[in-house]
Amino acid sequence: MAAYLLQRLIQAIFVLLLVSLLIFMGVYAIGDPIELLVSPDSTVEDIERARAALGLDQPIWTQYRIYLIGLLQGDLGDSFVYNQPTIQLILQRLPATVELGLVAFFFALVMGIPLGLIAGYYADKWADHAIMNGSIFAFSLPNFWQGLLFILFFSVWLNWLPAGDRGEVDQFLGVGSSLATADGWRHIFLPAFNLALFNAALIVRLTRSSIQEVMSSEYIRYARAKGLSNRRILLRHAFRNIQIPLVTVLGLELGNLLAYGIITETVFDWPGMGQLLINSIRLNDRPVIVGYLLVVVAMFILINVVVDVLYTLLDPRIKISGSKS
Amino acid sequence: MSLSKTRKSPVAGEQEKVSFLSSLFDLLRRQSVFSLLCLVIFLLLILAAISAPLITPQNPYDNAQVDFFDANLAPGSMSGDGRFVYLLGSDALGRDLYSAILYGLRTSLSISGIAALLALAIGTLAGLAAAYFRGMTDTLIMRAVDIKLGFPTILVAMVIMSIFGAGYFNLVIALVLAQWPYYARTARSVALVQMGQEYIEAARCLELPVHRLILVHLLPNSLPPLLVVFTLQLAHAAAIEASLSFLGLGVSIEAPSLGLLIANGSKEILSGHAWQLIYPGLALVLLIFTVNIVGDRLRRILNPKERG
Amino acid sequence: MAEPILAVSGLCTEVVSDEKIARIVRDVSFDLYPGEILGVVGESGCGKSMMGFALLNLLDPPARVASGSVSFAGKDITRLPAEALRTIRGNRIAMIFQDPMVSLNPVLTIGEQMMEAVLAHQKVSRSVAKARTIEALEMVGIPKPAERLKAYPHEFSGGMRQRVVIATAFLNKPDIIIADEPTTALDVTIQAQILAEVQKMAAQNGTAVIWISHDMSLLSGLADRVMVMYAGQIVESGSTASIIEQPNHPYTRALMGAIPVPGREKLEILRGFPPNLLGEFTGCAFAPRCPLARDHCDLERPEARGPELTHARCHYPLQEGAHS
Repeated sequence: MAAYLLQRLIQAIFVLLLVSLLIFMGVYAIGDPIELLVSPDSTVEDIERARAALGLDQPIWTQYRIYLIGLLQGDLGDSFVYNQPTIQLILQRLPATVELGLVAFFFALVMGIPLGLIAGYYADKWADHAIMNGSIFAFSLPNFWQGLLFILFFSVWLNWLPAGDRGEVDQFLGVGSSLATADGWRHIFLPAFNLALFNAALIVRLTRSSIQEVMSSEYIRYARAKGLSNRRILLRHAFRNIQIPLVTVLGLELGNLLAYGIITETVFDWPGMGQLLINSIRLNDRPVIVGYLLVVVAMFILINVVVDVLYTLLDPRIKISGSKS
Repeated sequence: MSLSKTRKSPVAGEQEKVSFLSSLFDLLRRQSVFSLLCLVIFLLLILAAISAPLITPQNPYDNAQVDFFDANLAPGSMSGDGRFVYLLGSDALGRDLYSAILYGLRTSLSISGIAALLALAIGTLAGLAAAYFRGMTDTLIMRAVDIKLGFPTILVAMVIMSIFGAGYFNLVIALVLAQWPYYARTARSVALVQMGQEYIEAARCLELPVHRLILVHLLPNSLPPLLVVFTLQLAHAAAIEASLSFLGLGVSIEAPSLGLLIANGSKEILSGHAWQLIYPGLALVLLIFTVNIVGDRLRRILNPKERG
Repeated sequence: MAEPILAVSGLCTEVVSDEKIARIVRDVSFDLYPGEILGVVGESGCGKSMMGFALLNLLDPPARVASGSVSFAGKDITRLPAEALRTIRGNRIAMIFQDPMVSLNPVLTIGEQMMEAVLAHQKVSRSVAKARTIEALEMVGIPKPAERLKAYPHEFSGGMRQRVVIATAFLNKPDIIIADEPTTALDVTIQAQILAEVQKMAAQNGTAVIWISHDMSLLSGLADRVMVMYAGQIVESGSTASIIEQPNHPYTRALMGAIPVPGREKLEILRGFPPNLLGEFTGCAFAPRCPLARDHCDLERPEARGPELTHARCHYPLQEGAHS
């Protein structure tokens, strides 16, 4: 296990290096940020001085080297726009993003798994067809439009729930979180549901196909021959087996939540990392863009490791060893 | 040639091409009337997008034709000059929403269509090459595919667009870069199965040239599963195009696009002009949903036991 | 003799695919008495496994019971509502599946999969269920059973898994055990031990056993009565002794040819394959492979003769031929 984790760590560092290089070069190609940063009436000398102060007069390799050295010390550089360390900006907004993602993940599971179980258990009956066509409809709804409709219906027309921002934030498990207050919950409900729907549709489809496959296996027939109740056969024998394919996809789902969270945060004015990214792209705030992407890649790697570890817990046949890739 | 005796695809493939649409109709009809209806709606949407200038009362992106005094008219209102009715209302700039939606559909369909076709071509070639040459070629291509597949398509497209900047062709390139791996993976796995079959062995023994082997023998067998990937990725591309345009990372701000129409409509959320938000979105959903249904049914027909 | 515990009458099963119907089990009737061990023998594909599943109404689409009845305790199992059926399965009629590698759930422990069979039918505590599980595992010769309860199926060999499945059938002391070739994976000593346990249960508890096998020599030492199946039909049945000593049907004799008997020089090898089950037979199903077939055999279907099918479903039974 330790050998495995070490191997994953080395892999992770390599991937992060590669991504940082690609993104750095790519972002470098976007254009000169200096024009956005200085006032229009500043002189050529002012611009040159600002350029030198930000290190933008150096050749790209030198800039990358300086960046890497900073990276090793946990320094992602300062934001051009906010005049604040990037890492600090990102970390400030991380809790809001994680909180939204986790609540959405929970909603997606709570909606997706039961519906998938029903569809798989009643395969090719009307309930199955209704759920499956419903799931296609749900992932055909572009996430941003669906979010706007939620705001239109539930906030503007019905005035049930607030449409933007995090609401009251209080200490929750040591972090400032909306989940600690009733007002926070009211604020998180719509964005979390918006983010969850698409993923719930995918979970429904995966659960259904896995259940269908498992239900036709010999050990399910044997479980029936033992006179077990349908409930136990479905929820213990079949469900325990589909947890393994589910976990693989749930890892991908968390990735989707991060990606689509960017859109949800923009639609609902949710002060998370995604919103920061979109603003930084609009303002060409390079260090923040690169920093955000590195943090996201690191989160993806972390998710993958967690998925691998979960596998060994769920499937007694698998043992992690150092040689496993 | 004796080769074609053991398998019918190269010959049958050409016949399929001739009657491709009619056999598609036939397949879907047997699945359900509903899926056939979706195909018809999808084809009508394509037709409407192509013929948009002919079936709309104005070109909403030509300022000379737009009357600013007709801004924010509710659906069914008569235009100020009395020449036509705003079927779906007008927007804040006085543009006919029905016309704007059809012009937007043109952009969405052409971007996602061109991107999906290019990704299909590039991805298929890469996948076939990986399966045919194996070794280093295979490793390199598939490693690139794996890295991409580890990240959500929309995130990859978003990053590429943030580097390139907004614009029609940049968006096409971003979508192609983000979507080719799906085709490569499918083409490779189908081709690997086919490579093991006798006719490929036979063709190799006959020393047929590589490109001929790939085009005439491998490709026809890879087409049905690739068609499924194509439909699903087409729908996904349309969704991503609209999402990125909504964020200001898609087409340029003055181009017609459903995503931008929705973005404009979202500013009207509090002013009671909800039709500006609802109708462009409905058009987009209709497009994505019908393509997804057609793709889903094709997948079921071609591979009834496949997962997911 | 006592009342039969199970009465099967005119049982037919079929598999439907693409508008074609394969009739796998054809008009099977028999009675089973308490304490009796009934052997069912035939080549693979003769319908004996599917008949076993049909007795517990365990067929999944596209397979189904087409007609006939299976009476148990005054009720027809083929028409029983789901909950009533559940209380019979694994409790009053237990089944031992053929392939130990796929019949246990790979992600649940052996202990859980056995204890749940007790808890599904009896209102006892978990510790009682556990004690019974350990006891059953001892009966089938699993060493240190208490320590093995936490093991997963993949940690057991094929033979051990099969013994787990057999022990599970013993758990609720059922009235009937249906065993589908359960000892194929076991070595000879373990096999002998399990056969002895089965015979003991039949004798002491009055458990009736239906033992499905392709191996006539195994049945000869175990069963009280033997039914020979061919192409979904029972072609001959009778007491084990009479079947072995005086087989009436040429197919029975051909099957016996596969038993090495001291003093008999050569083994008879059965040629060919069982017939296509899609249509109706015009004549005797075995005629194409029968060394003794005459023209008449292809034209008319032989009916089973005599009470309880003691006589063979054959136009020219061997023993009659011997007499005349």
